[in-house]
Amino acid sequence: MENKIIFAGPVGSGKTTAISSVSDILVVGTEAKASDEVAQRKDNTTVAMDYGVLNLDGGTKVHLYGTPGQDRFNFMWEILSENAMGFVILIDSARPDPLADLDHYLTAFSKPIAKCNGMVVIGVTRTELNPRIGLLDLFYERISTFKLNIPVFEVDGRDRKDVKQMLLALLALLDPSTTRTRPT
Amino acid sequence: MLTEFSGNTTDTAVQSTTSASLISLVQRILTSGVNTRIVVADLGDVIILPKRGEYHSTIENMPAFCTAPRTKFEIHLLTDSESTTITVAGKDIKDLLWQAAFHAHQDRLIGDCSENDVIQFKRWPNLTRLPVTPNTARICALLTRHPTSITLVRRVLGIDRDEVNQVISAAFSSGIVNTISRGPSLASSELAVTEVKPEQSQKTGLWHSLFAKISSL
Repeated sequence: MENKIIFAGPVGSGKTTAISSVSDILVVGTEAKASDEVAQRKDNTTVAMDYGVLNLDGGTKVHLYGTPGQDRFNFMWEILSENAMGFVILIDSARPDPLADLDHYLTAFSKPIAKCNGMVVIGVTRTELNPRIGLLDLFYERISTFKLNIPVFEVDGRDRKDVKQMLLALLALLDPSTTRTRPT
Repeated sequence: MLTEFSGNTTDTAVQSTTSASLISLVQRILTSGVNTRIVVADLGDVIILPKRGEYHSTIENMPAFCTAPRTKFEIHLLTDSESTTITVAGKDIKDLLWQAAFHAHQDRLIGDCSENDVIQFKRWPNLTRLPVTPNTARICALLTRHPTSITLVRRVLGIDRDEVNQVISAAFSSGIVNTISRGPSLASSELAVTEVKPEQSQKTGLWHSLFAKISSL
């Protein structure tokens, strides 16, 4: 595994913002002017990747990569995901069918997710636009069909506390103490 | 009905005379199915809508509300017309139960729960919208994966008793805990988890550095 965490999710789900809120460097972006239906949502969109860094004591770096949201750039998803230590998948709850988006991303990233033993956190964004009691329950039901046991949180990517809590949950999944084996 | 309160008319404030905590008060309101406003003077109010499974709050100081003396709670039962004026979506009532236990049980386990119980979390709590301790996510990661005794949670994760008790009490209150040692699977192999040991990893150093980094954000 490499020291990298992948942020994935649909266009406008908040990947670039989330990385920016915790990165130690200004996020290196590959944004271009949106020219298709994305232009109705925002002026610019990521076309290759976003890149941020967490600098640790001792000089170690943890790389934060944001994948482009549009499916036509999905060749980048596999390249960026190779040997990732974990995934943050952001789902925009204000899109027409967020559960279908969840299906799409869990399926698209199923191989690298399996390779890192299911180290995934789901962040549900823009819940304030469409507040619903039990929304997270629906996500858990859908995730159970993928045989994954992972956390789902409401997240505002602009709020560093929310992104911090998501990353702490991902780290908790990675914590050797929480993954225990039976003695032989 | 909320029979343990000294009155239950729909528009009259009455003082709680029970020995119940906020948690049991909320649970009784949920059982009764009656829309209810709980007021604490100077702090604000919480409206509970049991049939919708939600609550609405004007409270800014939730720790003070959750730990207020029981005599401070005023209970108002809402009429149907009062209830129907609440059209905006509230918050999940399970989140209120988490908060009530989190603030009221800062060092001890919630009643009916023993340190020797083997428990498992059914799912993660919505940690971005709830009060948490520094190691809440680690406790959740362990207990959503492995049924574990509460005593062993402390030992495996190296966390002090008060923090573990506080988080597990909140989880119990919000209804996400299965008590394995009291259920039908008592004799199952799951109980063997009390004999497991932590997995060793060469990446432990990196993990500690990253955990410290993220915690300091």
